[in-house]
Amino acid sequence: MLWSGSRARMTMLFIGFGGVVALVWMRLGAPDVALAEAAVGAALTGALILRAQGSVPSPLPERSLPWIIRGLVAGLSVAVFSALAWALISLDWQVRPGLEGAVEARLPESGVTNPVTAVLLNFRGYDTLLEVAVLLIATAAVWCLGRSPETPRLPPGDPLYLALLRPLIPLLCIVAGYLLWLGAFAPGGAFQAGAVLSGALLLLLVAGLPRAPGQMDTLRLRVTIAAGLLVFVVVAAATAMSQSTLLQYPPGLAKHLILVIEAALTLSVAFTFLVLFQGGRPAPPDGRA
Amino acid sequence: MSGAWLPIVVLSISLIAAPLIFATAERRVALRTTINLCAAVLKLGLVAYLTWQVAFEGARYAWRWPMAAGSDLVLQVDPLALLFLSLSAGLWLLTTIYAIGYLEDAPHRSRFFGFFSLCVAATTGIALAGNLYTFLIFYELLTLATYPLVVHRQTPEALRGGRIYLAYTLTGGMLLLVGTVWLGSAAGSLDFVTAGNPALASVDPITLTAIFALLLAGLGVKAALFPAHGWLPQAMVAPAPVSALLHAVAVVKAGAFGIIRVVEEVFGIALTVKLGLALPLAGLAAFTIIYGSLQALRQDDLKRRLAYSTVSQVSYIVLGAALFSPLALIGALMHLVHQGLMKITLFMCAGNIAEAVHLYKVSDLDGIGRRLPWTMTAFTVAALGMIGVPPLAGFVSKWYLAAGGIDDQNAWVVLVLLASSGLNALYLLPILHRAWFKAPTAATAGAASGRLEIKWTLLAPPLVTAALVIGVGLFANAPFSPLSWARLIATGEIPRLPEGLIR
Amino acid sequence: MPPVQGLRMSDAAGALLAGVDWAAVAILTPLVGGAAAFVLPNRARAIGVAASGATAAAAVALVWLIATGGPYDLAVGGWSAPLGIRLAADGLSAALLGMTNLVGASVAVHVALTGRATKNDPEAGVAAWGFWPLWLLLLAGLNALYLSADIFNLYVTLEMVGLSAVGLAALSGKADAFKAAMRYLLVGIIASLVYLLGVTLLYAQYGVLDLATLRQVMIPAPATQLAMVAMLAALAMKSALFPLHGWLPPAHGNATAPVSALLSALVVKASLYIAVRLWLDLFEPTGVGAGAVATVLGILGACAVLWGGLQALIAKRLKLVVAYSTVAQVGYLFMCFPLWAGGREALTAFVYLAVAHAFAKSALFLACEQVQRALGDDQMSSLSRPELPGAVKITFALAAVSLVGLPPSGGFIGKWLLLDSTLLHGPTVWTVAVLCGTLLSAAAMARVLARFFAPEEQAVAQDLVVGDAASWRFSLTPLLLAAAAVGIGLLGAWPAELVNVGETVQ
Repeated sequence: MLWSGSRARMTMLFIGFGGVVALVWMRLGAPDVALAEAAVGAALTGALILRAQGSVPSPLPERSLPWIIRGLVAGLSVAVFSALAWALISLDWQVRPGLEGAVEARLPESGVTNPVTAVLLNFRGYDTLLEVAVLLIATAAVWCLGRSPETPRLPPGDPLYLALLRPLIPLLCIVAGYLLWLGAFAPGGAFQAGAVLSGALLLLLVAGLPRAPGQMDTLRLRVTIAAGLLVFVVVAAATAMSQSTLLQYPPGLAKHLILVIEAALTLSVAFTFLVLFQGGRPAPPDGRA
Repeated sequence: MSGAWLPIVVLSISLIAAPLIFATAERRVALRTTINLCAAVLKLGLVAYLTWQVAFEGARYAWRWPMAAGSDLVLQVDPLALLFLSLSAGLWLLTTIYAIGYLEDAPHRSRFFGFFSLCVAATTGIALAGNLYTFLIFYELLTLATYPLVVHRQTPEALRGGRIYLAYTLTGGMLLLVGTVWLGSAAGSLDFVTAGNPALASVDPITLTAIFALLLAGLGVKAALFPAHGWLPQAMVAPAPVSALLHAVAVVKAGAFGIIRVVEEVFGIALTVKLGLALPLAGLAAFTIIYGSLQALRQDDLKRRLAYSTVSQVSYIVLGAALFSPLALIGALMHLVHQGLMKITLFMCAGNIAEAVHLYKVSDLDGIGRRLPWTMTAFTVAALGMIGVPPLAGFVSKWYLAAGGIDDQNAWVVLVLLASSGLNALYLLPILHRAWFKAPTAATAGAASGRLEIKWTLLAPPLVTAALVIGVGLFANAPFSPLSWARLIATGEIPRLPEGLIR
Repeated sequence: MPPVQGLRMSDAAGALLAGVDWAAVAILTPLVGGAAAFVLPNRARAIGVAASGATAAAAVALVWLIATGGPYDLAVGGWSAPLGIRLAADGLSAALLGMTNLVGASVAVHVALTGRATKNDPEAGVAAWGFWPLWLLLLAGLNALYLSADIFNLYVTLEMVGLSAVGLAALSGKADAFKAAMRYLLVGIIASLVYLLGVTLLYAQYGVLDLATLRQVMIPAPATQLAMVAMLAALAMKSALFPLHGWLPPAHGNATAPVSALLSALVVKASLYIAVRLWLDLFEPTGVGAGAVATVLGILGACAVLWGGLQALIAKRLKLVVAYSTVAQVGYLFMCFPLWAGGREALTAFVYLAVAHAFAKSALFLACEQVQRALGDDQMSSLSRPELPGAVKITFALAAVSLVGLPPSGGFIGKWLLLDSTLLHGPTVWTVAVLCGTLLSAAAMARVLARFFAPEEQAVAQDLVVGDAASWRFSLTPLLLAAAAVGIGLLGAWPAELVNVGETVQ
C-alpha cells in the first residue's frame, strides 16, 4: 500500500479501510459507541489533513509499479481482508463481554444519565482530553502546510441565499445548543453540536460575507480553537490538585464541569472543522502574506 | 585501600592534557609545549613514585567504577602494569620532545598533540586495566586516537593508509569484543589474576578454545601477527614521531601486552598448554618472526624495512608468552621494553634522515654517516641491538627466550631465533655498511654546517634511547632494570624457576 | 522491587516530591504550553522553552520517584480498570520518559538559541509559530504514551504523536519535505487504523482495554493472534522496520534539522515502545505470541541492520547517511525481541541502545544543520572544505562513537548487552548479524569522519551566514548531546537497575 503511486488510489484505499473499521465498531454495544466516536474522530482528522493536501501543489508523482509488486500488494490485501472477515465471523457476538455492565453500575456517579457521554467525558474523559489535543494538532499541522486556498463562494449579496440564511443560521445555533444540552441524558453532545455549528459557519463562509467568522487568522479565532483544550486542561489540573487524582470530579460538581467542558468543546470543534475545511492557514487580518 | 585514586590520577594526566591541547590556539606554541612537557614530566614522576612503592612497600593500587554491562571499570597498579606504564611514560616524554622539533611550523599541531596525548592516555589505560573489560575500552580508544595521527598529513596516500588501518583494527576490535563478551558470560569473570583466572576452570574446553581464538585474533591485529600484519607497512605514511610511537609503545605493543595478559593472567599458561593452544600460538609467532624478516629484506624504503622488522620483532614477545617457561616469559617481558627502545631509536633516526637530507630509500644512504654522524651512531647501536650483538639490549632478551625454549623442551625455538638474528643482520648491516663505508653521493655529501647536524630536539631523543639500549644490556642485573622487573613478574606468573640454565 | 541503590535523598525532599502527581504535570504542562503557543505566536518561543523545561523537570522528578519508590500507577478520574483508564510507569517507561524529555528540552533550547540568531533567514530557521505548538503537543503525546496502560488510550496517544510529527516534517516548506510528509502521513494513518483494528478485535473478544486486566483474561485464540499480528505490523510500520522503512529516509532527510532530530530520536521510539510493552506485558506472558513471531521480528531487525548500514554507507547526502543509520538502529532494537525469552539483559540492552541512539542521533542532525549552514549544502563531498567549524567535527566523532557502539559510550553498553544475550540465547547467526551491522555502521561513520581529514580544498566564497554557523549558539547543544551519548556509558550501574523497576505494569 505504501508504494501505490497515485493519490486517488491511496485515498480510496484509506477510505475502504476506514469503512471496514467502522463496520466492526457498528457491531458493538451502546457504551462502545463512545469509543467508536473517539476512534473515528481521530481517524477523521487524518483524513481532513489528506483533504487539505489536495489543495496544495506538488502531489506525489504518478508512477506505475512492476506487476509483481502490484500482485503482491493485491494478494496481501486479499489475505488481510479475508483474515479479517474470518475473524469477524468466528467471534461469538452474543456472549461478548463488554463494559456495559460496569457503565450501567457506575452511571449514577458520573453526573450524567447518557452512557455515551458518561464514557466520553467522565469514565474515559482522559481519552477525550487527548482527542481534543489531536484536533488542535490537526489544525496546527494543516496551517503549517500553507495558506488556505480560495474557498468557492457565491457572489456576494445573492438575495435568495441571504434570505435562506437569515432564518437558517439561528435555527442551526439553537439545534447545536439543544444537542449540547441533550448530551447529558440522550444521544448528543459536544461533537454533534460542534458539527452542526460548523455547518452554520460554513454556510456563512460560502455566502461570501466579508465579516463571516473564521476567514482571518485573528487572536479571537485562535483562542476559540484552543478553548476546548484549555478549559479541559484547566479542569484536569484543578482536579489533580484538589482531588489529588487527575480528572476526578468533586462529588456533585461532575454535571456542571462536564457541561462547561462540553460547551467549550462545541465552540472549538465547530471552528476546528471550519478551518480544517479551508485547508490552510487563513490570512492575517491586516492582509500581509 | 589508601591511594586507590592514584591509578585514575595517572590516567587523567594525559586525558586532561588532551582537551587542553585541543583548545590551544594553533599559534600558541609556547603554551602548548608547556602543557605537553609538564604533563609528560608529571606523569613520569608519578610512575617513578608508584614503581618505588610497588617495589619496596609491596603496595598495590586499584580503582573501581561500576558499569552497567560486563564488569567494573578497574584500573590497578601491579608489576606487569608498571612495566608497560613506565615504558610508555618514558618514551612519551622523549617522543614529545622529538615531535615538537619535527613538526615545527607544520599545520594542525594542536590537533596532532591532542590526539598524541589521547593516544598515550589510551596506552596508560591499557597498562592499568585490571580486567579484560577495561582493557577492551582503552584498546578501542587507542584505535580511535591513532587514526587522526596516521592520516595527519591529509594526503591521498595517508587517507588510504588510514582506511586500511581502521579496517584492520576495527575488525580486530570487534573480534576482541565478541571474545570478551563470550568469556564474560561463560566464565562470569573477566579479571586479570596472576597465573590465570580460576573462574575459567568451569568452562568447557571447546568454548575456551573458541574464545581464545577470538581474543588472539583481535589482539593479533594490533600485534601485527601474520596474517593480520598488513596494516603496519601501510601506516608508515604517518609522520616519523607517530611511526616511532606506533611501533615502539602504542599500537603493536598494546596488542603484544594484551596477548601476555590473556595468556598469563586470564587463561594462565598452564591452562593454555593444557588446551593445546600454546604450541600453535608459538608456531604462528615463529612463522611471523621469519616471515617479517624475509619481507624486510625485500624493502628498499627505509621505513617499510623497519616496519617489517617490527612485524618480526613483536612476535618475539608473543613467542615468549606462549612458551611454558618463566625464562621465556622473562625474555618476552624484557623484549617488550627492549624492542621499544631499539625500534623508537631506529624510527627517530629514519625521521632525522628524512628531515635533514630528504632521503627515504636504503639504496640512497651511501655515506650518510659522515653527514649525520650522531644520528647514525644511535642508529648503529639500535641496529646492532636488534641483531642481538652482546652486550646490547636485544642480546639479553633473545638469550632468555632461547633458554626458555630449551626449558620448555622446544629446542626449535633456538633455531628460529638464530635464523631470525641472521636475517636481522642481513637487512640491517647493509644499511650500516652503506652509511659508514661507502663514498657519499651528491645528496649525502655536504658536511654538517654549524655545531649540530640537526636541531637538538631531533637529536637528543634518539641519543638518549640509544644510550638506554646499551645501558639495559650492560646493567641487566641492576635493580629496576627490565630484566629484574621481568623476573619479579615472571616468578609470580609461573612459580618455578629452573636451576642450571640461568641462575 | 527494592529501590535503586545510590539514589538516596533526604526524606523531606522525597516527601515534597512525592506530594505532586508529576505524571499529570508532565502531560498537562505541554498541553497548556502547546495551546498557549498556538494562541500567542509572538510569544511562542518563550512559552515553548519554558514549557519544555518545566515538563523535563517534572519528568525527571517522576523518574526519580520511580527509581527510588517503585512503579507509578494511577486510575484516572478515580475510575479503576476495566471501566476507567490507568496510567502506569515502570522502569522501562521511566527510562524512555527521561530520554524523551531531556533530548526534547535540549532540542527546544537549540531551536530557541538558533532561531534568534537567524531571524532574517526564514528558509533556514524553523518557522516558530508552527514549530512550538506542534512540538509541545508532540511532547504531551509522547509523555502520555509512555504513561499509558490502556490499549485504546495508547491508540489516541499514537495519533497525537503521528499527526504532530507529520506537521513538523512538513515545516520546512520545501517541496521534497512536503511530499515526504504526505507519504509519512499516509503511512501513519494506515498504521493507526491497522493498530485500531487490532484493538477492536481484542475489545470485541474480551471487552476490556486495560493492559493488566487483559493480561488476566487473554487466551491464545486465533482472533487474538490476528489482533496481535495487526498491532505489531502497524507498530513496525510506524517504527520503520525493514521492509516498511521506505518513508523514513525522505521524511527525516528533508525535514528541518531540529525536526529530524526529534523524529529520529524520539518519535520512532514511541511506536517501538508500544510494541515492546504489548509484547512483554500481553502477548508473551499469555502465550498469544509464539516464539516464531518474535523470531520474524528479529530477522527483519537483522535485515534492517544490514540494509540500513549498507544504504548509509553509499548515501551521497550527509542527512541521508544519518537517516539510514536510524533504520539500522531500529533494526537493533527489533533484534531484542527474540532475546527477551532469555532474560532481562536484552531489555536493558534495548533501553541503552534506544537512549544512546536518541542522544547521538539528535546531536548528529543538529550538527547537520550547522554543516548545511557553513557549507551551503550537505553533500558528502563538500565535507572536506575548511569552513567547517571544529565543534561540528567533535560532535560527529562523539556521536559516531556511540552509534557504532565503541567504548565507553552508551551505545557500547547496549551492544555489549545485546551481544551477551545473543551469545546466551540466540543462534550464532544473530551474533554475526550484530557484528556485521556494527562494521557497516563503523564504515559509514568512518566515511564521514575521514572527510574531515581529506586533502583540503579551497574555501568557496559563500554569501551564506558562515559566521553564524561557527557561533556557540549552533554548536553548544549538539556537542552536549553527543557528549551525553558517550557519557551515558559511564553512569555506572543505576540505569540498568532503573530499567528493572517493576518487572511488568501491574
